[in-house]
Parts: sequence; structure tokens; C-alpha cells
Amino acid sequence: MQRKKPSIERVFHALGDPTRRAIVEKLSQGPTSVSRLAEPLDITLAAVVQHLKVLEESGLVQTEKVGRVRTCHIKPAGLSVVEQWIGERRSMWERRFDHLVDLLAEPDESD
Amino acid sequence: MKTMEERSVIHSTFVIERSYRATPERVFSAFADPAKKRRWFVDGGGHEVEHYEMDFRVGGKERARIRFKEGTPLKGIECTHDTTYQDLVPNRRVVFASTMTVGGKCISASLARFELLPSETGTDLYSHIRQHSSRVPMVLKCVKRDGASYSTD
Repeated sequence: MQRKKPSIERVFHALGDPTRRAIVEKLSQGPTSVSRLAEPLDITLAAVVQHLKVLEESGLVQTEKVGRVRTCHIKPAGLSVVEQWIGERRSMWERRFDHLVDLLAEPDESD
Repeated sequence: MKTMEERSVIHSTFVIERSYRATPERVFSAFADPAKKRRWFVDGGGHEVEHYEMDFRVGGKERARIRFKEGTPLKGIECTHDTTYQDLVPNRRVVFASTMTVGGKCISASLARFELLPSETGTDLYSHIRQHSSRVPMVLKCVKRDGASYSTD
């Protein structure tokens, strides 16, 4: 695969899709195999591979195959350590508010 | 003389606005009820919660202690989150000040303000978090030692 130069447009395109954002979110917790990424997203392996291709082209993600397993990890090309750190702090809050959605969706006895 | 690590403090402000299909009373109870608060604020797949307590009143404290699991960048490392409630207005506002430690060292001090605004669809939650993060290089070193994310290349 020809490696394209990372550009801000490619990064925005990559992150414009909610599934790809979910993939990046998951990878921010640590490297994961392609099959383990597909599980919680409830999409086909082929779909994940397509999304990863876009993410790799944007310079956000790198994958490597060791034996039969392809592993992915975050590669924030161009992002400074500080921005990375802040992003991770913000992601932690966003995750909490996502969990709150699930909690509030449950029926409440007092309703 | 301060080391590079001690001098590195990152100041961040996050403003997060979310809308919930629930009344302000229910959203507030997610902050006020320890069983609920823990579930969305503390529980997570990548760590075990070793301790959780909450005393929801002005001056009261919430204390959480977690340990990261295998397969995560900070595996085996303990993290604590201690909060003191500053201002509470039922169904309207929560303000708290917190500190977080990783591996026993303080890595952040925050002031968080949450405003609950009734809306047509339920509640608009406006969150304003001012966070001072210190010892960032230390935490990144912990992560790098485990050979996982936070690559700087």
C-alpha cells in the first residue's frame, strides 16, 4: 500500500465517521487486534479493514501483521505529546458521559 | 531545583455539552446516588474498582481507587480519584474539586462544574472542567515501559 503524506484534511475525513472514531477511541486504550476491534462494533471484519485503511492513510493508526494476527495501534502523526495527553483526558470525560447515556436509558423505579 | 518533570504542568479546560432524554431530577440522581455515580463515572472495562465511597454533601468526599488490568497500557498500576463537593444545588448544579494519582503520585488537580438545564427533550448537561495535569512525562514513561501506545514518533 502506497503511504500517503498525512494531511489535516485526511485526518478530518478519517475522524468524520463515527465507527472510525470508535476505533480510534478503542485504540487509545492500547493496541488491539483487528478481530477484537470488530467485536464491540458489531460490524463485519471486512468493514473494519476498510475503516483501518482510511485511518492508516490519515497517519492516525498503524497496523502490523505478526504471524496470522494483525495488530493496530495509535500513531498520532503530527500530534504533539501535549495534544495527545489533553485528547486522552478529554476522551476520559467523553467516555463517562457516554456511560451516563446507558445508565439513564435504564428504567428507573422512581419514574 | 525543579526537575523537568516537576515543571511540566498542562492546564486544560474542557467544556462538554450533552443532552439527555431524562429529567433533571434523574440526571441529578446519577450524580447523587453512589450506586449510580460509580457506574458511569468510575466503572470501566480496563480496570478493577478496589474501593469506592461517596458522601454527597457540600464538604463531603467521593473516593475511588482502581487498578488497571492486564492488556492495558498501565496494567497493574493503581489510580485514585478523590473528590470534595464544593457546591450542590438539587437538580441544578454540582461543583467538585478533585485530585488524581497514578502509581501513588499526583497527576492532576481539577475543578469541575456541572449545570443541569431542563430542555424540551429532557436535560442539557453543561460540564466545565478545569484540569491541571502534572507529571505527564512520568505517566508516559509508565506507559512506554509496557510497550504500548503513546508513541511520540
